[in-house]
Amino acid sequence: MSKLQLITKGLIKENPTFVLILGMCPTIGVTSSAINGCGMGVATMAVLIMSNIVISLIKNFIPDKVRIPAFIVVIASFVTMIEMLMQAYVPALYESLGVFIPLIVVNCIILGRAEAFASKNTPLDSALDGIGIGLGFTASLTVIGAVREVLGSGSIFGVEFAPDVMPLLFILAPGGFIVLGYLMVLFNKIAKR
Amino acid sequence: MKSTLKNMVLVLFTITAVSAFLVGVVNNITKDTIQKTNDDAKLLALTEVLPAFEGEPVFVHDTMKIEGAQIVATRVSKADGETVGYAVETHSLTKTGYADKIYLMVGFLADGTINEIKVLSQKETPGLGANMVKPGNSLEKGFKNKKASEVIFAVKKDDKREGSIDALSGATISSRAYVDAVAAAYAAFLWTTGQREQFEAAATSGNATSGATKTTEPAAQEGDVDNE
Repeated sequence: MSKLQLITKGLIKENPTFVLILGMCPTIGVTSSAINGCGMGVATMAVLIMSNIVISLIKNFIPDKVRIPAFIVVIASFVTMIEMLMQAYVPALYESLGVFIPLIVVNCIILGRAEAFASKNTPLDSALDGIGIGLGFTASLTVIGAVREVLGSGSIFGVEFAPDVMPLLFILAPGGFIVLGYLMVLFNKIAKR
Repeated sequence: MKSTLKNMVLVLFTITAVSAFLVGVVNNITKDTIQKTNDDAKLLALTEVLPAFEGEPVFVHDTMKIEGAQIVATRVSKADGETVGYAVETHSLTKTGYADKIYLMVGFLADGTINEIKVLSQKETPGLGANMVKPGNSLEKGFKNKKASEVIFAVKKDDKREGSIDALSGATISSRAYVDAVAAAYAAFLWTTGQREQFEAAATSGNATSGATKTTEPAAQEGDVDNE
């Protein structure tokens, strides 16, 4: 697999949201607006790239039986650091993502990629895999967020065009599932071609 | 790699130790900035909820306990001692929002007019309750530039009388918590300006839905120990 393919496969063939169907909890939770989805995607990508690199570097020293706890410690440390850095330097984004940042720890995309990819491949490949999957996750969350924001609050990236007339359903969780389902069908229909 | 007790213990210990060290380093780097960001936001809110004026503001803080919750009322005055108004840092007491308590900074002019309300922190649903941070929303409109004594601290759904507050559409629970927080701020304002009679009235009068002020027991000053 070429280096470029490592990045592009995360966007379409192994898109974490629409194809692998991983990390559904943050997907439904944060995508009530496009900007929230984008922010969560970028934060997850940062953790994913760093944890993939580190896990790939230390994979040969970790005994098989304790690899999961070892991975979790590495991931949790990165999430804590990112949380503190965001709180210090981008407080506005930290405010709006709130409780979802600590939840990156248990986002199965990160542990999934650590198990399935980083623990078997070189650090460079793992970093590229992190970028690819991270971009795929960010793009998916942004699209879902944009659709829900347009349908639910009549705005896009915070710019209002038809406030107070759209059905609130799409901002709430049920609307999130409806949008996710339809987008998943649409995505797989197009990707299969 | 094959697992033995020795290498498992050793590897896990090393990983946790290194991780803990790195988290500690980042904490040390960021904690001052985080503290400063929070303090700046609060200080900014203190002056933003009151009319702008020339010169350095003087702050006199008055901390009190209402229903066991700590509320800080700050008298903001010009350098020559003239009072500009009171900024009350408050939060919803009896009613929480849809997700968490709602923290507000409420600015009162000396005559009891509500000048401005600023949301310090909230975790309500984006697109619904979180609309309370948008300028000119229905909650803000209900309070802004009104005499606090003439406002009915309840949303329209609970109290149809003139002077009650229009709730945010689709977010009655968040709106109730917001109104509750402003009611607590008004009680704190009355206490700190020494209007004990009105304070008692506000605490016992028909503000049925803002139960916050009913059994109010402010402890006088900061430093008081509450042994409950």
